[in-house]
Amino acid sequence: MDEKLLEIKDLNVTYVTDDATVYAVNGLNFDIYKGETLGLVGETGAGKTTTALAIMKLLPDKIGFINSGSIKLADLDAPQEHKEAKGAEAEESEEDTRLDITKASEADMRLIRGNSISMIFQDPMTSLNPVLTVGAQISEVLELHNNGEMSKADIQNKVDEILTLVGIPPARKHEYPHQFSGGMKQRVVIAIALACQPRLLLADEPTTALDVTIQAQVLEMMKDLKVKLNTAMLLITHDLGVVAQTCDRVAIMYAGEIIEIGTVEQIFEGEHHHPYTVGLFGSIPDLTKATKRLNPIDGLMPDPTVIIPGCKFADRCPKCMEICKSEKPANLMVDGHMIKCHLFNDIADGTLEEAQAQEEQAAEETK
Amino acid sequence: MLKFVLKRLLMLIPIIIGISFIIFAIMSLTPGDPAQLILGENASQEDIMAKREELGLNDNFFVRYFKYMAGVVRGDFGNSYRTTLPVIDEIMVRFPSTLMLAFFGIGLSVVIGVPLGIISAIRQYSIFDYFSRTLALLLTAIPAFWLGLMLMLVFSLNLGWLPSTGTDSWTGFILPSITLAASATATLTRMSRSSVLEVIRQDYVRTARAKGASERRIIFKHVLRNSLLPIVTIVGMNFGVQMGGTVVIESVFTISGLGTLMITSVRMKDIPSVVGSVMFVAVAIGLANLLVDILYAYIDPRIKSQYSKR
Repeated sequence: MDEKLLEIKDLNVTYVTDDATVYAVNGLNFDIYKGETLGLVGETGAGKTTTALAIMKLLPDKIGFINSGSIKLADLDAPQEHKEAKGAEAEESEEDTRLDITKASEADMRLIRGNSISMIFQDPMTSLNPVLTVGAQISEVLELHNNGEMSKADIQNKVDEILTLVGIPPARKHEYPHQFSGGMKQRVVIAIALACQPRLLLADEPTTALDVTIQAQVLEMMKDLKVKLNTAMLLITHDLGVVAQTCDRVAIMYAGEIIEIGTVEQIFEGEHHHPYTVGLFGSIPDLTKATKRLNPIDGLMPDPTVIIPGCKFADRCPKCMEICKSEKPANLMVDGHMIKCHLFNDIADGTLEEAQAQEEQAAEETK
Repeated sequence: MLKFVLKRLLMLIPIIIGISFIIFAIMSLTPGDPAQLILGENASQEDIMAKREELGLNDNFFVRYFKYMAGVVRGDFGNSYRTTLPVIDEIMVRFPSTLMLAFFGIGLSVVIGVPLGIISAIRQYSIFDYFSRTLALLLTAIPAFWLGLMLMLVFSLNLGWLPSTGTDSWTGFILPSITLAASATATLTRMSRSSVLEVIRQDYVRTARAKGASERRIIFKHVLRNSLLPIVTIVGMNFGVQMGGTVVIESVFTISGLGTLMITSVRMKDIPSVVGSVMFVAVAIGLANLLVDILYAYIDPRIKSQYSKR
């Protein structure tokens, strides 16, 4: 396997308001490897955007909290100062030198945001500042992460270069966002996100606000750029077609938990699946058959303010058993991918945790 | 942009004609005879008739209006019925005081209210925020005449630092300006606070955060300019209010301003004085509004492109 770029372990995020505490993300575990595209799929309110915001540490101030868990970012592109400061400690102990985002300071995060990790937001219409020119908004991110290496002219050249890359004539950099169409605005947003050649791109439904033709163009472009810049991407979407087209691996998210994660082949063609995944795929109408009615999953996602002792999908699950209502399923390894479901208790090869431990041991032995 | 400004300046002409006609009509067609009011209760019928003839009140209303406007075009605003002096002289004496008062009042309210509101918004629910919101509440609740009298009591009578009346030197403007600024400061504080709070929640501010911008940079570069529009609007509107509505402050501090002139003239049915001063105020408000619209264009490129299209 490739090297891990980002490792999320047992992440819990809550939103605390006067009325209630919302458990948005619960015990989340997943890794992103260098250069890969991981699709994060789930219905509205499953906690996809919250996960991305937690990685950026941009959860709403005084409302969103990372309660526990860790988000570790591989060291190689951590800010230089940070690396030097940590260098002495690292030599003394063999401990993890990766930066834990959940514990990072605001100053450290500012160095990472837009530079090592950047994010494309859902709605391009409102994501650009209406009173600044497009060029100024792209050059801003370059200026912010410029350590005196680039002159003003260099930055302008870089802006031209990146605009050309996303298919906008550089001459238009002096125009304002209102002079651009929706698809063009999304290209600008992507240009901002890619300007510093981040290691990791968090794309939060980058095509949802666009019409289908533009969607295809933008996806194609992102795919190209990803290869060119060797960027890993977390693609948040609820469009399974987009996932099949662009992703290497897929994580299915439900009520703040990842209930199944595997390669695109394992998820789309594998034999064993979480009942929710089955329902999700079942709700896609078949083009070759005359379908009178769509086939949705009955019921709604559980209230996120309530802690559920068992499996969160139990209420809607067609294969629900007694154990599902009282006991949380483990992260089981089935057919080489993870499924969080009691159905597979017997046939599983073990848990994800065991598999990871084995992997690490194997890695150490080869050393 | 230049075309837009010229157009707006030309539009002032019909506005002035409309306003003067309405005021002239209201003053002329409502009951009450200026001649009677000037000569008093006990004047004889002949004297009143003679006075009416002298003032030209026996003509048809439209004839009188056209005669008056014909004079205005030539720069002659007629003579006051009350003092028989040229109206323009009286206005020119009083207009600068009113203008100065409005400028100082607004300047003060902007300098205090806007930063207060912005800091309040950035530090929402902090002690500073509670303090400034309470202050705003107090300032709106305090009546202007009371505040004026209290300031006078403290700074003029007890401490003797500032003059209590008159506008002979600039020090005379300090207390009235503070009094005038009080309620405007309150509105501006609340307005800037809510405007900044709204902009801070916008998606593009989150985009700026995602770029790794510092909080200071976000406020100065992304938030402030976007939150200026409603603030500029309120300032422009305040200017209008302060041009015509400072009678209370003028009488508390015995300043001879346009407000006082208008009130006494209305009471005396002194038509040329009323119409003349209203026209001055209207032009001042019109120009202030134009300034606001020009500022809009500089703040928001979307508005600027609308202007050039028309």
